[in-house]
Amino acid sequence: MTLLDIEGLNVSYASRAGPIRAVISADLKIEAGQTLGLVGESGCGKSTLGKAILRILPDTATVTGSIRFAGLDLVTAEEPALRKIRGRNASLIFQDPMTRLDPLMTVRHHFLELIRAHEPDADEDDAMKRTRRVLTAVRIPPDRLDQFPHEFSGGMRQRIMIALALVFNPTLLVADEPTTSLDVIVEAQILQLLDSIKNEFEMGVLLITHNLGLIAEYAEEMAVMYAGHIAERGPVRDVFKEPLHPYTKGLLDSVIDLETRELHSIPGQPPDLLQPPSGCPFHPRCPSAMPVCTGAFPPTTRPRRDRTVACYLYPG
Amino acid sequence: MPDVLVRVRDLKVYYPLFRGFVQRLLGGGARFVRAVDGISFEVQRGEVFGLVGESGCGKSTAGRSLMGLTPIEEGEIVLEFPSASAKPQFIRPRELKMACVAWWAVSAAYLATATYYGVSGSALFPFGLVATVPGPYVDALGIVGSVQVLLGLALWLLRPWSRRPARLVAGIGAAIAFASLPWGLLLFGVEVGILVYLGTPDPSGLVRRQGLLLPATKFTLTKDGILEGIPRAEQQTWFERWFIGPRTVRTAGFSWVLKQLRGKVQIVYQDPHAALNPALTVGELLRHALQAHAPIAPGGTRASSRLEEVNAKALKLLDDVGLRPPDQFFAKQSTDMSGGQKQRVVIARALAPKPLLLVADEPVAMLDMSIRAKVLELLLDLKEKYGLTYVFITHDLATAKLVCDRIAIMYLGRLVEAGEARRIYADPKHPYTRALLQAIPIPDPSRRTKKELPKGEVPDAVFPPAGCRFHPRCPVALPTCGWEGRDFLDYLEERWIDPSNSDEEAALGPIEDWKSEDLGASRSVRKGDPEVIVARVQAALKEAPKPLAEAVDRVALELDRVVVSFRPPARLEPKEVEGRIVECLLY
Ligand code: SF4
Ligand code: SF4
Repeated sequence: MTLLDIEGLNVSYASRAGPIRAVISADLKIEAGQTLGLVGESGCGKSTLGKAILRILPDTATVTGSIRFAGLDLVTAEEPALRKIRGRNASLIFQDPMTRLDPLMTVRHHFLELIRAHEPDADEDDAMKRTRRVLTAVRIPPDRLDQFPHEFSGGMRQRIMIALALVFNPTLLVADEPTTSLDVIVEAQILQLLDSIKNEFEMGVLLITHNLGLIAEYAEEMAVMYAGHIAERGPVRDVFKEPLHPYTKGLLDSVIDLETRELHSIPGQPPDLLQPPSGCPFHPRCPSAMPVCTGAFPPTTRPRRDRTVACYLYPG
Repeated sequence: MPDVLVRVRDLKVYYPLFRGFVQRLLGGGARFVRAVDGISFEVQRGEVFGLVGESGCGKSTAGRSLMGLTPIEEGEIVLEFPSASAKPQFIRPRELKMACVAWWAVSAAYLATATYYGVSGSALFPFGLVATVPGPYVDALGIVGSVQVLLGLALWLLRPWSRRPARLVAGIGAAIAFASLPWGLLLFGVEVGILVYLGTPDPSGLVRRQGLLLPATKFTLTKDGILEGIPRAEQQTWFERWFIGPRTVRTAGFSWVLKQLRGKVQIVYQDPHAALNPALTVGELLRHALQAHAPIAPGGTRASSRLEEVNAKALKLLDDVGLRPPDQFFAKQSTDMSGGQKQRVVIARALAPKPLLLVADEPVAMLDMSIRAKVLELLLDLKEKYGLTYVFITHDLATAKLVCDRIAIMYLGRLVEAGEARRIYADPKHPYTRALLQAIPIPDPSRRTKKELPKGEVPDAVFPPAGCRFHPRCPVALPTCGWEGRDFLDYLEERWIDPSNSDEEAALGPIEDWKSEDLGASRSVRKGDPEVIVARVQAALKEAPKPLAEAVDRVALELDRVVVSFRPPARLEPKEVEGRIVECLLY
C-alpha cells in the first residue's frame, strides 16, 4: 500500500540573491512498513524535502507539485488540516533533540502538551497511560518522567523524541539525520530501535541521512539526491550492487569503512545552489560527462526493474 | 635526534565543574570532570598516531594538552624536537642595540679622552682616582677603546649573532682586560654585567643570551603550568656556562615558551567554518599566521615582514594545500568557499609556522563524504612534504584504520587499548574496541546482521564507574570488574520499565528511596516488611546478569536499612597483550 506519494515536487527559497531551488521535480513513494533512505550531501535538498512533507518550511519557501498522504494533497491542504496530520499521522524526528525539547519543561509536560494539542479534553491518566506505553517501547524508565531534558544523555533525548513521535501511532515517520550528533554505538542502538518500532507500529519511515552505511543497514528502498534533483532511485540491494548514476557510483566509492583499502573521492566541489551548473548539475564533476550533459537536465528513465535514474548514459 | 617526539606520562586533565555557591556549601568541595584520567603514550617522529574514541572520552582534551591549552592535574608531557631546526632567534633587539650603543659611547669617550689629554684620563675620573693611573696604562686604555669600538661594530654587523662571535667577543674582552688593568678590568666588568643581565633567564620565557634566544628543543608541561625550555648543553657557549650556569630554566610565565611551542605544535579543528575569520581574505589570514610566527630580527622588525616575501610564502602554502591557482584563492573571502576548501585554508594556516607536530582533531568529520578522502590524502601528502608528525583524533575507527600507524583507543579518560593499528584491527582485544568496530555500519546491504551492542551510553566523567570504567556496558564483564551500588539501582530501574515487574516496583520502589554509596546500595525499611524487602531484593538479584549478581557480597539488614554491598573490584592495570597495551581484566 502506498503511504506517501510525491510527484513533481518543487521547493524554492526566496533569497536576496534570487530564488534558490532546493528541490526540483522530485518523485518519491513510500510503502507502509518500509524504510526509504534519502541520501545526499549537505545542501542537496534532502532535508528540505523531508520538511516539505510535513509542511514545516520557513515562509520564504514556495512549494509546487503534489504530496499525497492520508487522503490529502499536503501541498494544497489548509493549515488546520495539516496541523491534524502533523504529529498524528506523520511525525518528524530531528538531528538535535535539544532544539526541539523545551529545557524548562519536564518530560511529562512534553507529552501532556502534545496530547492535549490534538485532543484538548484528554484526561491526564489516559494521557499518562499512553506515555508509559511509548516510553516502554523506547526503553526509558517511566520513573524519570518528572525530569528535565538536560538530565538525560544524548541518546536518551533522542529516544524521548522518538517516543513523542509515536504517541499517536503515526503511519509515517520522517527521521532527518536522527543520529548524526550521536556516537556510533548509540547511533546503532537508536537505529535498531527505530527498525523494531517500525515493524511493531507498522510505519513507513523516511530516513534522511548523509551516511550510506546507515542506508545499507536499515533501509529497503533508497533515493540519491544531488543539487535538488533525485539522481537515482531503487531497492537498496540493487543500487549498492549496481549503482547506475555516476554520482551514486562516486558516492559509494568514497565511503570509508573497515574494508576500504584506497581512498576515493569525487573531483571538484559541491555545486553552488545559487548558480547551479547548467543541464545535469553533476557534469563538472562527472567522469562520464558528454557534450549533451551541459544542455538540459536529463530525463528520468527506468533502465532496470524498479529503478529510475536521471542521466544521459541511460536513454529511455 | 630524538625518535620519540612526544612522551605523555600519567596525564590527568580535570576541568572544574561550575557549581553554585549554595551547592558548594552543601555538597563538599569542588567537583571535576575527569576529562583525561591517567594516560600514558608516546608519539614517534614521523608517524600518524591516532587517538580514537567516542565523544567525551577525552581524546580532544588529550590532543589539546599537547599544545599547552589545558590545565594539567597530574603527570607530564614532554615534547622534544630535533635540534636541527633550532635556529637562534633574536628576542630583545632593542636591548641588544642599547648594549651596543653603550659600548660605543664608553669606548669613544675613552678614545677621545686619551687623545685629547695625550696620556692622561684625569678629566673623566676626577675623584682622586687619577693619582692611581700611571701613564702607560692610560695608553693601553686608548687601545682598549679602539678595540671596543671595533667590537661594537662587529656585534652590530654580525646578525644574527651566532655562537662563534659570542665566543670571540668574550675571548678578546678577556685579553683586553688583562692588558689594560685596572681600567680595562672595570670596563670589562661593566660588559660582563651587561652580558650577564641579558643572559639571565627572564620571568617571561626562555634564556636571553646577549639579546638572542636559542629556541628550546625540549618542552615539559606539568601541573604548575611550568614549561621548561632547555637548549641543549652543546648550544651553550663556555662563556655562558661559566657566567650563567647550565641552562634549566623554570618559569611560570607562559608567553615566550608557549609561543615557541605553538610554532612547533599546531592544531586543526573539526569545524572549518568556525575557524576562519569571515572578515578577512584568505591571503590576509595566511599573512597573519606567517607574521605572527616569523622570527624577530634585530631592530624590532620581524624577519619576514616584507610584504612581497610574506605573500610569496602564502601563495606557496595555498599551492601546497591544493588550492590552485593560488593567486585566485589568495584574494577570496573564506565565506565564498566550500567546506573542503575552507579546511584546506585551515591546514595551510597551521603549516605557516613550519610546525613539526600537527594535532588534527576530527579534520574531516564535518566534510561531505565525497571530498573527505581528498582532504585525508592531502594530509598524508603534506606529512611527507613537510616532515610532519600527526596526532590524529577521530571517533571513526574506519578512517583511523586508513591513516594511522599506531592508535590508542580511549574510553572515559582512560586508554583501553593501544598499539600498532594493524594488529589492533586484525584482532581487537579489548571488549570496548570490539564493540566500537562492530557498531560501524557496513555499506553492504547483503551483509546485514543484528549487532550485539553494549547497552547504555558513556557515563558521566564527573563520577566515573569504579573498577573498569566500561563495566556497566561490557558484554563480557567479570564479577571483579568494579560492580557497585549504583549498578544495582540501574539494574532495578531498567527492570521496572517492563510493566510485568510492577509489583516488584511497588514493593522496592520508587528508585529515589534508594541510596547508593560506593560499593553499596541501601534503602530504609521503615515502610514495609523488612523480610519481604530482603527476599524481593534477592529475587531480583537472581534474575540479574551474572557478573553483577556474583559480585554481591551480601544483602543484609542494618538497623533500619536493607543494604546490598559489593565486593571491591580487582586491581586494573595496563598489560602487554600480543604486542599492544590492553587495560582489561580478561587478560
Ligand atoms: S547526465 Fe552526463 S554529467 Fe550527468 S551524470 Fe549522466 S553522464 Fe554524468
Ligand atoms: S575489565 Fe575487561 S571484562 Fe571487565 S568490564 Fe572492563 S572491559 Fe569488560
